[in-house]
Amino acid sequence: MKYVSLLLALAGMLACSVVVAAASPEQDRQHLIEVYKKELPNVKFDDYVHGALALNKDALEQYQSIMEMPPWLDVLDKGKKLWETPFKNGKTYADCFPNGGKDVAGNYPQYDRKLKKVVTFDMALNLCREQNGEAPYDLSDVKTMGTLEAYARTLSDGMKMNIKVDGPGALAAYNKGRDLFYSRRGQLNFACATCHVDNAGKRVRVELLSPTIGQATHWPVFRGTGKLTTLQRRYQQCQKNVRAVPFKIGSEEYNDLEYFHSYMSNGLPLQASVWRK
Amino acid sequence: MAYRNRKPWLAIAAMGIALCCGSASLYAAELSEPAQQALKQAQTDVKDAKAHDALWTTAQNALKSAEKAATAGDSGAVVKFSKKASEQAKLGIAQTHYPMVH
Repeated sequence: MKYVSLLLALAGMLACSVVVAAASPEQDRQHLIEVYKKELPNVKFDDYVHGALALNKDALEQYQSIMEMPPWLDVLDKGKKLWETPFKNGKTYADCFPNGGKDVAGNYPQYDRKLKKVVTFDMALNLCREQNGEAPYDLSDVKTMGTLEAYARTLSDGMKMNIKVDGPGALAAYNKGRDLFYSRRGQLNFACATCHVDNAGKRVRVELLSPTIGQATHWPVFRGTGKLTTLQRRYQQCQKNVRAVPFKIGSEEYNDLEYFHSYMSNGLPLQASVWRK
Repeated sequence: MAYRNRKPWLAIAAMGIALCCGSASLYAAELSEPAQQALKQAQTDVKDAKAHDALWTTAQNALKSAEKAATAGDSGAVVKFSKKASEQAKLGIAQTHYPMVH
């Protein structure tokens, strides 16, 4: 009888661990929503797109004031020119995407079964270039890819984030991204989740820490006095802040992280090229 | 006379070999034995941490400081920074076995 009880207890523990290990992407997202409902009860779901600004009325008003006439419109004009300038074969970026590139960015990152890897929106822009006989841009170069993306993503403003994780390859990539998000790194021994889940809404020095949900909806951003910053550049900055040597922009690690991270913002509207502190 | 003419070429060849070998042996003539060993170990440890995607910027910077001290022939500083680099490189690798925060 003792052995039976022991076996049942072990089976129960095993079942529990399987449930934890096999949490689906949607369960992960719902779990975060519940965490923030408790920790940040005054923030409405739609307001998560504002990140830390949603936690500070003054900062949000400052943001709204800057967004009335953003000082970086010239960058978006350059991006528009890049987007509209035909390739040598006469085609344009719009020819590579459904709906001429409108309302597509919210579907990225996506898992490409043929390539067997996650493809981010900037990678898709580069694939478009290559398919049309052009050399790919350096993903870390804000003067080319960053500027192009800053405009191209605005064509999806208002689209709701719609990341899909279908099939074992996609799930494996999602889980790798999830693991990176929850793994401690650097001398400070912080995971992404240490700041953006466990301490969201609290301050690090003078800055409020933003919640994870909504974070992926508004990239690239113009920081401070207008420095164009992409999402993966921000990942690098965060990793340096915790004193970890960052991964490269466009690395599999960051692409998988962006996949997980973007899924957490599913259902929230995109608005690219906005101001952030 | 012919031997004398060869001297500069021998020196250049020796420098070339030293540069190719890189790492701690480059500073061998000026550094104490413990400093050379510590630096070599730090270079190995940092390389290992990098291979595990677990390198801390502080370990990376400590190794740079050790290499700079080696260039200046400061054995004491080489040992100090090399030990720091090795220790933090190993801590970085150990960190990859920590449980996730959730």
